[in-house]
Amino acid sequence: MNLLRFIRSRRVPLAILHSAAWFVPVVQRMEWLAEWKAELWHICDNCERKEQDQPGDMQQATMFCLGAFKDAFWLRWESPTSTFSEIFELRSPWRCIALLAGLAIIAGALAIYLPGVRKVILPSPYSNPQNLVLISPSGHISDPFPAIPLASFQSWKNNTHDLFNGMAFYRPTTARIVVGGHPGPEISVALASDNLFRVLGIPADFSIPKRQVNAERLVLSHSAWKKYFHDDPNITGKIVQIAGQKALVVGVIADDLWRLPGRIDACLLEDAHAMAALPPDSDGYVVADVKASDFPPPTNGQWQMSVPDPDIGSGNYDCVSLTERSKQPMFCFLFALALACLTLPATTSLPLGEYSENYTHTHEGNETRRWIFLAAKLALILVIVGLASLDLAHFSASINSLIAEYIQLGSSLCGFLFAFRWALHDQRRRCPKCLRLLTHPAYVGQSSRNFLGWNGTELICVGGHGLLHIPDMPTSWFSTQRWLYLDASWSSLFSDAYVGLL
Amino acid sequence: MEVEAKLSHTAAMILHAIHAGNVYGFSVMEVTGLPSGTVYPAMRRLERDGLISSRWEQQSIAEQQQRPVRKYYKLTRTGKATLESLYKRYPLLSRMIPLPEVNRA
Repeated sequence: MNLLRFIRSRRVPLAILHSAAWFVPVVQRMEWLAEWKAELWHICDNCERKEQDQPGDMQQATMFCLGAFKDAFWLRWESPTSTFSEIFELRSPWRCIALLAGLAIIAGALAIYLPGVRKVILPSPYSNPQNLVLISPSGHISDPFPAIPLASFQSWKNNTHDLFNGMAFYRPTTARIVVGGHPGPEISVALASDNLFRVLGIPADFSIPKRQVNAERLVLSHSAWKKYFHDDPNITGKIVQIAGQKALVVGVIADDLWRLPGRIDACLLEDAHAMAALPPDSDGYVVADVKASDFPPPTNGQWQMSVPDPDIGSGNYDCVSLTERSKQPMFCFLFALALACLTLPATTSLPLGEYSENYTHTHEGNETRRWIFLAAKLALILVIVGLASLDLAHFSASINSLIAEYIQLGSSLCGFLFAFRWALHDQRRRCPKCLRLLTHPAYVGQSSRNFLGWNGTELICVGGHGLLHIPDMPTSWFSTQRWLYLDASWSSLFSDAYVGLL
Repeated sequence: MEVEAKLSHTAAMILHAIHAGNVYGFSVMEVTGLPSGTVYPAMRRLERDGLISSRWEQQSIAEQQQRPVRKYYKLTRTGKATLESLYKRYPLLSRMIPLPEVNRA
């Protein structure tokens, strides 16, 4: 109640005004605040007169005061000593960093919004992901399709008590769901052994008694519950028909909880009897909880399992921990980065230009600033390309894991190459003192007289700090771009406004 | 010589509202229906361009009425000339907010 009273009091609009006042230049701040406060007083007075039944409701006043920010920003922008105009000026280094930071924020926001990317970047929700393994035939770790027959699972389940604490099977498929006799849409269902969530270590109790109904248990994903059951709060305990059998809805799990291969809308937990009714050659995934005390995890997070097979002698299987699988996008990212670093010299020149040694010794701060600026650009590029490639790879839920890896690898490699090339080019075209982009390119010299003089392009810093010569034809004495510093005697030729800002 | 009128419709509306006797920000907001975030920066721009001028009212008047001192705006000579040319560009402008003379008639 106190909070409500506070919100409805005059304090909130006043607090907004005082916050906005921080953006107003100091010389104008007092007068600006006085004007807005005087107007606010009249609005509050007006509100109180109009709304006798709701005295103190300051909604109109709050809305009025929010406009003060726009006014304050405008004054800051217009101020001759403003850093705002410098920040958003086209050639400013701040604008460059702000743009890159903006892109990074957009890529990050998209990553949080997309469920596929969330699953990659957020930590595993399972209790012991380093001990949880996904079993696949040897050499087929990355295969996006299920490859373990149900018969093998049933055989292993009974014979591997000394290797695993538990073992579960699931088979992704599609099935039509029927609710209340009305046929619904086809959804992705995992036909799973009833111990699946227990093996994964998800702390959820789906052991609702089956009442008198002979039905399997169905766990819905949050998105499926929203999409197909319209957020029905009484969904638990309802009977639906799925894959030709009755199922009792026992719960809804968050989408982020499913980190196993395959897109799943619902999970049908079947007991041993129902599992036995499935064809023995039905392929699925097998998840197991390794006895870590007996089998410490190897450095690559991968165990080898050999199973005697009467037909082929012995079958070899890879048991890859879920932690290791979740590192795959990071490996892709690092691989693309390494590849881009190796390829970059073939696509662009790496030197950043020649700068007079005398000058750099006396202005070490400028040199440091240049490197910090380049480092900031590269760091932001890593974030942008890393997140954007993940966004692209997991944009649609229908993209399987293998294709997603290829998309991530390809897009991040292209992204890194393009972005690094741009970062170096941008760095070469900036004034070493103020880091603004150089302007006014002018062609100088004549190619036909190359041995008598030099020819190339000349750019200038609008702040009057110097000129950049870029040779058209690299020679042994003039191979790379060269910076010529202008001393203070040149300052009278340049705009005071620009010089004053620097 | 005719004054070049290159103001937006919003700026013209604010200029006309001030001319119509709405001499402070909140009253301009009320008659134009524009939010404070539009009206105040626009008035600052008009003042910067010399089309309106501002002055603080006398402290004694405000004290007498037990309220804070307000800042009033009025059109300059250039502002009036600009507004005249704006009426030609935006013919419906004068009908949106009637001038005091029209009210009296």
